Amino acid sequence: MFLNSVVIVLREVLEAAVLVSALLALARTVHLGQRWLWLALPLAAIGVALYASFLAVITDALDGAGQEVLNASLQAGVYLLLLPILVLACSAEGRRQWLTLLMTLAITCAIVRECAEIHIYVRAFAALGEHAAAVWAGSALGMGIGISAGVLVYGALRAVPQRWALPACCATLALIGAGMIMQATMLLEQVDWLPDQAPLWDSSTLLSEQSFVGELLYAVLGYEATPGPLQVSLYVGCLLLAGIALWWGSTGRAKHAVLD
Amino acid sequence: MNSIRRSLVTMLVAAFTLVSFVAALNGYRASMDKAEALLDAQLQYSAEILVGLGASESSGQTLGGGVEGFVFQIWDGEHPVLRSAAAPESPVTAFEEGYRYANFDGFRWRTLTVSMGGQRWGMVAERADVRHTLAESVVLESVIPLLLWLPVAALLIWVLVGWGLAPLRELSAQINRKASDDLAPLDYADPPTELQQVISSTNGLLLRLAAALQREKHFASHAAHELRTPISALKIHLHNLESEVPAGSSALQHANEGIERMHHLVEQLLDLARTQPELITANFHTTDLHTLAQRVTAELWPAFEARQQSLSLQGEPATMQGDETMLAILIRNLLDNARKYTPAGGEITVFAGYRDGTPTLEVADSGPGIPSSERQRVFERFYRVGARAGEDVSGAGLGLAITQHIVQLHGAQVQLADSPLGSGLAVVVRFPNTAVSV
Repeated sequence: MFLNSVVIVLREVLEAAVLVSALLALARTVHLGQRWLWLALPLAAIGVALYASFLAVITDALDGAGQEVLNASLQAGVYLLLLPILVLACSAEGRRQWLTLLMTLAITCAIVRECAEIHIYVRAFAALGEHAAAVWAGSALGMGIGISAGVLVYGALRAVPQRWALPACCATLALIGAGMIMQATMLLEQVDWLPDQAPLWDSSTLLSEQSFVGELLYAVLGYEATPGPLQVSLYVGCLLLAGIALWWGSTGRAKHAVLD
Repeated sequence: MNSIRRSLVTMLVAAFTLVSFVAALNGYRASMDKAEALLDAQLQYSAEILVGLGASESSGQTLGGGVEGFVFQIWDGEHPVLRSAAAPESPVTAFEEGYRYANFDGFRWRTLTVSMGGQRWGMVAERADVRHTLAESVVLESVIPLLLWLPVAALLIWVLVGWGLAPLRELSAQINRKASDDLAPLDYADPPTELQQVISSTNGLLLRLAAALQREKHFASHAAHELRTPISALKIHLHNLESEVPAGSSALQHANEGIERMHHLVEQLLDLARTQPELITANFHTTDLHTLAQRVTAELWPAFEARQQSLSLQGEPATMQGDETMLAILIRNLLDNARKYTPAGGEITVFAGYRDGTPTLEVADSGPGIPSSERQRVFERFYRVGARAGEDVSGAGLGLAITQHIVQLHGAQVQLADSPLGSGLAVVVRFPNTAVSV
């Protein structure tokens, strides 16, 4: 129970923490400040509370596929929000309020998606009296590792020289976004909304998804040991789309510089 | 994270948490493996006791009672010889020596088969979930304190980082404590390696600054002599020339005006240099602001009278700590400005006394005033307000910059306000109530 708690909580927290860290580092790089985060956190708390309150309705919806479809939608939503964020962050000054709004929404979606899972898991298993200590200790350990890794990712992105800070933040966000689409694909495959396909490769012997590095790569890159052709195609497609968004934003910046 | 301490503590706590938690996780896995091995050894021990008990049994007997989550069986070939009450009638595991896992009675069991010689087999089994929960509860006893003590570790890191940054704080405090005119090198005995370069660079900078200010100081005093002397000589020559040229010569009049302007500019430049807070050491004494204002207005009265301007002084004796020479320059500058920018026949009032309990000087005129948008900029050197600059008023735009210097030197505040006399300007200087230490 302890290990299960660690793995479940770590996987969810790590993903949200890395996304929050990358967005915070990006905000700092484009001199956006961090106040928007204080709006995102209460919004996310409300979202998690609503998710947990309507869990039964959500689970029963869409012939029992409601929860998976909602989670996949939230992850796809985060990716779709990251695209304009990349464009705006790479373009010249201005439209800061839009960037702030999009970042607030992206963090809210990510936290609702990740924390709702944790909330449901902890509430369900902590109710089993004999396992409560193991569940709480495992959750605390998983959360500690996830948040610490997020803080260190933020520190690492902050330590990148000024010249490379923006590309580093944008590249991290592009990878996280593509990873989220990969996970959304897996969820939809689970409920047969997408066809289940034979894996293209199996790298679990090289790097297990359950190892800490595997979890970290899952959070940052969407690492999947046995991905299907659709997952790989979508992952590459999303990365390309993010690359186009970055290029578009950078072109806007260049044009602005010429006009100036 | 603009604070070095906060940033360091956050990163250190994160690194400590990550490493210690991952280590705890590995420790948990290792401890669980060890606990499993211990429980297997205990199972082995139980099996050996069973072998002793069941060696002589020959009929299919069932023993009542027993321990929950533990069953045993003794088989002679395929015939049951002895079994615990909770044990199933069929073999719980294979007839082959060794540990295995098996599923029966709705649970997963850890089983051990031992050979008792011949066709006799002893089988013992423990519920895997009970073993796991037992092992986990023991192992968690060593993990949970790590979680509970994390805040203590974070607090310790906070305190230790604070201690580590103490030399930086001390250096910062030492720089803050320095008076504005104290350009002596920083005195930091045995500085840490990381601060040596900062201290060395700062001291080098202070040294160069002190030398530059000293040069400027020398320039101001030398220039005073070098510039005033030829101007005075020129004035005498022009005075002598008056008797040699026809009366009312416009050339001579222009020359006189030019010399006067140059004299005024030189005096103002010297005042500006003399009043720089970084350059001078003020000589503070108890001074009566009202008496001083009275003296300066009396000195300047003829110039106001020449323009038919009315000049009045109001207020009451106001004692304060100040440099009398500097304060006189300040009052003179404000009065000069008021006189120059107020049209002939206008009105100028001076207030020197207490206002709201603090020593206050106010010079108000009935001139054109200064638009509020430009009021901040008039304190810049050589800045002249657009509307006023076009007027036929001589000046270099240094008067209010000098005023600002003297105000800073006295720790006072200057404010440009609308004049109570109409559209003009009121310059209000509020001095601190207490003695000023510089």
